[in-house]
Amino acid sequence: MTAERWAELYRLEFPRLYRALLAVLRDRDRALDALHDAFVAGLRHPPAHDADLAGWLFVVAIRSSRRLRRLPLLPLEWVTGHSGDDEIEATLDRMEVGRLLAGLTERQRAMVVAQFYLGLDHREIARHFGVKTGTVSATLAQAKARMRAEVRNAS
Amino acid sequence: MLPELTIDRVFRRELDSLPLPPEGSWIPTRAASRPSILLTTLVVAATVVLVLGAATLAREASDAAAAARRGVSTAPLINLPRPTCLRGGCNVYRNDAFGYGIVLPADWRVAPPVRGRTPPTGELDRVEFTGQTSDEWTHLVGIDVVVPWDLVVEVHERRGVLAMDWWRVDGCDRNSCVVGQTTLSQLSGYTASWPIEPSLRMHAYYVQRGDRMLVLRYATGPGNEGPRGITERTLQQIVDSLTFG
Repeated sequence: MTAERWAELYRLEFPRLYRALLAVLRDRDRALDALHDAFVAGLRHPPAHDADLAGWLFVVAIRSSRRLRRLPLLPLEWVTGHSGDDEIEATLDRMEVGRLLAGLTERQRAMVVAQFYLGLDHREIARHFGVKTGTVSATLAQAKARMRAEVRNAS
Repeated sequence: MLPELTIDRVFRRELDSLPLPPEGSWIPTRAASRPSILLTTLVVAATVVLVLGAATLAREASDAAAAARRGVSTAPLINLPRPTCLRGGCNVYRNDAFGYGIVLPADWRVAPPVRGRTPPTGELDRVEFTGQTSDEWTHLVGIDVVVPWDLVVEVHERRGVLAMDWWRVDGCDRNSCVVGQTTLSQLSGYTASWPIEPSLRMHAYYVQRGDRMLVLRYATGPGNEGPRGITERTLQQIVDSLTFG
């Protein structure tokens, strides 16, 4: 795949991938950084098939966000540590989906968003995350149980 | 039971309303505007060249560039004990400008400077040592990002702050900060360690030298081992090898 083709496909997928990452990471900077990393990774080693693009970019970005943490560098300034993204947190907390996802682990959120927002099935999620289909099923079952409990509590 | 079709629709309806960043920031390039697909293509092609070029240059020229900028010599410091050579090789970094030397594992190197980073007030020098390959490092690093399992050595103007108090201005939260004393190259110093993320911990060493403060820091996690078998013990050994000229 040429760099031009890669950039074109990336641009097409950017909006929903960025929003998916916001839902999982709840931080605009981390979401954008992670997506940038996935773009650069794809320049070097693009996925084998265009059809896999969204899932591939999503999982590469999720992995990147775990490896690459924004850390304080400024020794002479008071640093408050990892800066949360209050505005996006507040936006998500106002959403039904955001509240449901907030009660999940980051891994559960990633798989739930991959299934319900990006439209990946269990087999695709398993392949991209490098886990067994049974693991995906179990993770999603736990996540859905938690979300049901949240719905029950809210009502 | 949650009807999944409904969940799909709710997810799409709600998440599709989340705001997007400006389109100019979607692709990691400094290009501010893209009036046409053709220009986009050119920008992307330039990005590819820059990214690949940067990786190659970083691999080939980082040591030489660092040496030219910082007056670094790869010759061992006179008072640096040979037995501290790590992993079967001597890989000595010597900073004549700020008077210290440090022994790295044989496969470690000086990371290239982070482009676009603005040094904070009072920072006189900063060198990042990494055991990760150029490709791995280039992939990880960002303007305001510390790469876990790298070691950073900074020299700062002390501005009246004592080593024993440096942790207070270094992001070490009072409630979770573990502070201790240590000795580095026969000089008393202080250590601080604090969680930055649930799975990530910052470790810092502060040594006072006149009106300057030498700060060594590294982040560990997630897990007990980083890439290429780097552990906290590896990083502590590097810190312990510090020698002042």
